[in-house]
Amino acid sequence: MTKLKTFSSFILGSIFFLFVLLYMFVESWVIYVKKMVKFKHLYNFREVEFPLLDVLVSEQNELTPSTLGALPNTLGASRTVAIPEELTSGALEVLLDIQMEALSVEECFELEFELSSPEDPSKVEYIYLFHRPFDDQHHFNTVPLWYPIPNNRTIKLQLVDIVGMDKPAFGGELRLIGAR
Amino acid sequence: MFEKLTNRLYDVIASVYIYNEYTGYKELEKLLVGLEEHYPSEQEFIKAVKKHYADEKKHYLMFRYYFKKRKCMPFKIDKTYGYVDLFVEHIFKKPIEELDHDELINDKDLFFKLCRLVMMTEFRGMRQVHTLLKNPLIKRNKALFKIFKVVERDEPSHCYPYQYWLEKYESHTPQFQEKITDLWIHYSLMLLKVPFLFFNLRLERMTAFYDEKELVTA
Repeated sequence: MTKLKTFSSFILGSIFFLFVLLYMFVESWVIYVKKMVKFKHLYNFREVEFPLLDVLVSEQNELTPSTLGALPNTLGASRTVAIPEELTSGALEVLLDIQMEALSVEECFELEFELSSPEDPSKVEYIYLFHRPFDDQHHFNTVPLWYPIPNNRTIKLQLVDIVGMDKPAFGGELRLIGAR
Repeated sequence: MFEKLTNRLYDVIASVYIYNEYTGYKELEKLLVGLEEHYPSEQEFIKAVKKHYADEKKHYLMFRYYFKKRKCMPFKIDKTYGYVDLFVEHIFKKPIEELDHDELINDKDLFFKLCRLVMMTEFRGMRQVHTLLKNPLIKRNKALFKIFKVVERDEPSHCYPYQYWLEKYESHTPQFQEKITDLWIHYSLMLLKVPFLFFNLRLERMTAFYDEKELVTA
């Protein structure tokens, strides 16, 4: 009688164990298949996928423009600047404006800058400026962009490439124009 | 050999992009003129379209810069590979060059249609650039990767003004026919046309950039 009881509980336990295994197996497959076929609607993006969704400048975020420093103007040169706390206290991001002024008015050239944080080099923004003196349509000498304020409030701007001329003569500045 | 093949792939992708950016800003230029004339009070919307126009032009210049750095020209691409060209042809049943922007802006329904078209193109572009940035082959090409990063940064602000306009004037978002057209254009480009460009060894390169051609014509 005891043997039969032990045997039947062993059978019941095995059946239960197999059932749990089967359940886990089916459940993991259901989750996997659901993930595979889950329809993400094209017109309903989640903001987390595109953190820079709000890229238009609204008046409430604007600051009186102030200079943070001159642009580096030789290939490979960089400039590290601090974001003033008094203007941006409580803000998470600053709106920077990279503005270039060409001193050679007759030559076309193109510049590529990298804006990063020495604290977190992975947070890099790329900036392209185009000097085309005889073509107003394709002349871009300013780029505004939002950048998250690093903990140590220091950012680095580096001139990484020049196309069109070896050593173009230009000046310009990095300006702080907004915060949010 | 691998290097040659990947460079060809990069050039094909950049050629398709440069064509689309060029067509995009040219069409937006015409749209802006009409908007400023017919809706001068809609300054917020006009400001957003102006930003869109400026960004498209900047993107065109960035791809141009990419080819200048590579010291080669883009492949000759025609409107078969233009997302907006194809969309206009399917939705308005006429080629893009025959679009009458005045008529479009004057007719409320046609303008809603146009807004939906731009909105869908931009959403698709946003999704596409997001996918490209995750691609290991694109990650290998630093120059192209950086350009796509800038495109990714700018794109979100392009679709929302049109969506806002549709909501403001109580028009509907894209419907079945427009969604099917979008899917058809996207997948025919990705699965048929771009591979065809890649394997087409007779594909020629351009002799001048689009804006240079324009200057010569002018």
